[in-house]
Amino acid sequence: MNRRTRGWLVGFATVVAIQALRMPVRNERAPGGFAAPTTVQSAVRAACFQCHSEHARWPWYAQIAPVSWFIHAQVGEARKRLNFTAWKDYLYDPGTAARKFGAIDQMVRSGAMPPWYFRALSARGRLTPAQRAAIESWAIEGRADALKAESH
Amino acid sequence: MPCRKNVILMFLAAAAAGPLAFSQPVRAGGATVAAVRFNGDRFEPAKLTVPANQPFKVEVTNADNKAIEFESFDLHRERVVRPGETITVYMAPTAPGHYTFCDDFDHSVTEGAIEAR
Repeated sequence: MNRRTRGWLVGFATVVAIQALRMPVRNERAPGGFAAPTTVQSAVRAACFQCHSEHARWPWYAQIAPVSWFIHAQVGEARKRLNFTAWKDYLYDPGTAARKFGAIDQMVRSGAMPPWYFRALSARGRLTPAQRAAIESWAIEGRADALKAESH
Repeated sequence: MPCRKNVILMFLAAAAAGPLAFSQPVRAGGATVAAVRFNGDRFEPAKLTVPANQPFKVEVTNADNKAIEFESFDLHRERVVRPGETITVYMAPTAPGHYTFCDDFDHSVTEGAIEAR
C-alpha cells in the first residue's frame, strides 16, 4: 500500500469514526408566536426561520459530521440571539422588542442576513429587494411602536 | 449595660437583615419588582428570587461608567443600560426554574440568576 492510498484510507476512516459524534437534530418548542403582515411573514419564514426559530428543516447534510457540527453551532447561536418562536416573549417587554426590531432592520439592511453560506446553499435564503424593503419597513415601524410603548 | 447590649444586638440584626432585604423582591402595584445593580464586575445580588407563574419586573441599575447589555437568553430579554441609568425589564409569568442573565457586552462578568419558585 503506497502513502497516498494509506492517506485516503486514514481520511475515510476518520470521517466514518466522527459520525459517532452525532448532534441531536431537534426543534424544541411548538409552532406559533410570530405575527406580521403577510409579505413580511412569508419572507421571514422562508429566509430566517431555518436558523432563527424552532421550525428548522434540517437538510440531509446536517446529519453528517463535521458539517453537522458547524450547522448545529450556527443554529444554536442564531436561536440564542433571535428566536421567532419566542417572538411573543420579546414583545412582552417593549425595550427588548425595540432591540430585536432594530437588530433585524440593521442586519437585513446591511446584507449581513441571511448569511452568504445560507444564500449559497438555499434559494429560500435569497431575499428579493422588495422582500428586504418590506422587512425593513416592518422593523422600523415595530421599533418605533416599541419605543413609544416603553416611554409610557 | 443592658441598653448598650440591645443596641449592639439590634445593629447586628440589621446588618444581617440588610443584604437579605436587598435581595428580596418587593411587590409594587400588584407586580413583584426585583432590583439588581451592576457594580462594574458583577451583579448584586447575584441571585433574584421571584414568584413563579406571575408577572414580575426587574429593575436594573448600572452603577458603572460603561454601558452594559442586560441579557437573559433563557427569558428572552435584551436591554442596553447606559452608565448611571436604571431600567425596568418586564417579565411574563414564568414556570418554576433557574434562569440566568449576563452582561452580553462583557462575558468576563459573572452571570446572575433569577430563581422562580
